[in-house]
Amino acid sequence: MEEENTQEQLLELANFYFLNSKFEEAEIEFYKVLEKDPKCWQAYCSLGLIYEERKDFIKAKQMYDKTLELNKENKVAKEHISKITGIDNE
Amino acid sequence: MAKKQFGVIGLGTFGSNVAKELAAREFPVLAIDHKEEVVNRISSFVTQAIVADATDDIALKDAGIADCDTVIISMGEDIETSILATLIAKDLGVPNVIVKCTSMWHSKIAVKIGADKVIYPELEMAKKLAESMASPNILEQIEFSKDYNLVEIIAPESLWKKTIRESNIRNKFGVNIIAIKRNVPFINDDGQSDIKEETNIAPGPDDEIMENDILVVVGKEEQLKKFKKL
Repeated sequence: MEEENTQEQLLELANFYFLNSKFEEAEIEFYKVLEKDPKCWQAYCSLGLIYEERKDFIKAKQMYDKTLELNKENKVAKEHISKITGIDNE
Repeated sequence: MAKKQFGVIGLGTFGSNVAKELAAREFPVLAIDHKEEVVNRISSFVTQAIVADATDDIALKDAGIADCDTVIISMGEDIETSILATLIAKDLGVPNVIVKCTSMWHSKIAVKIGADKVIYPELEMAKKLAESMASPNILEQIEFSKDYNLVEIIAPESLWKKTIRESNIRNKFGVNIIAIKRNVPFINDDGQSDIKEETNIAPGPDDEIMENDILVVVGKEEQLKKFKKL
């Protein structure tokens, strides 16, 4: 029987797809990560980047907000919220 | 050459943001409003912030408005004060007076009494919003001249995975791609995934257009219209 991937393995795979600009595959894997660990802020932040890349700024903002809920000092999420809203949230 | 000096009269949301942005670009800025609290709020950002009545010519002269190269008058809601301030600024010899207007009539009067430029942000925003809703793929449109425009457009699906040569858009539409903007994933110094924008200025014929690319295209308005429909 095939062993189920651990949360770390899933995150690694998702990041691999992401860094190779395979955003559709990355999106699926990041959601699998969140099923296993709903508090994984890295997955939320990367999903934000994927939605921003698709110009779906509303969804991107929701993902960055979620990232900041779980990791309130996260620089990437803060920077990208400022970028898409045009408001400096510092 | 001495740096240009700017004056901003009326420190509402628009005026104070203009003043702050100019100061951030290291221009000397004289900011004026009749409300003490707004003047206090902006004083740490600009060179000089003064409480004065915009219709008081002596107060404006004493404040040093005549030394400014450009004065921005931003009292949209109070048309009478805006008009008087425009008149005073022109009388004091300010070479470039820009007036923020809230209606067509306001802008017509401002031009008649000597405003060098009128801006109508609400109308401009409305136009941009309508345009972005009518063609959601257009991100930015800049008028080069009467006939030529520059647009930033999300690459249409029919061009994905094609080189510029294969896309043949210069022959088909008579427009030129002068830059391709692309978001590239990377790992930042903290080890976290991030995305940065890379711009390929003057792309070559063998450069490929990818999904989610933003194309910066120049052409005649009519030709661009056809291209946008792709």
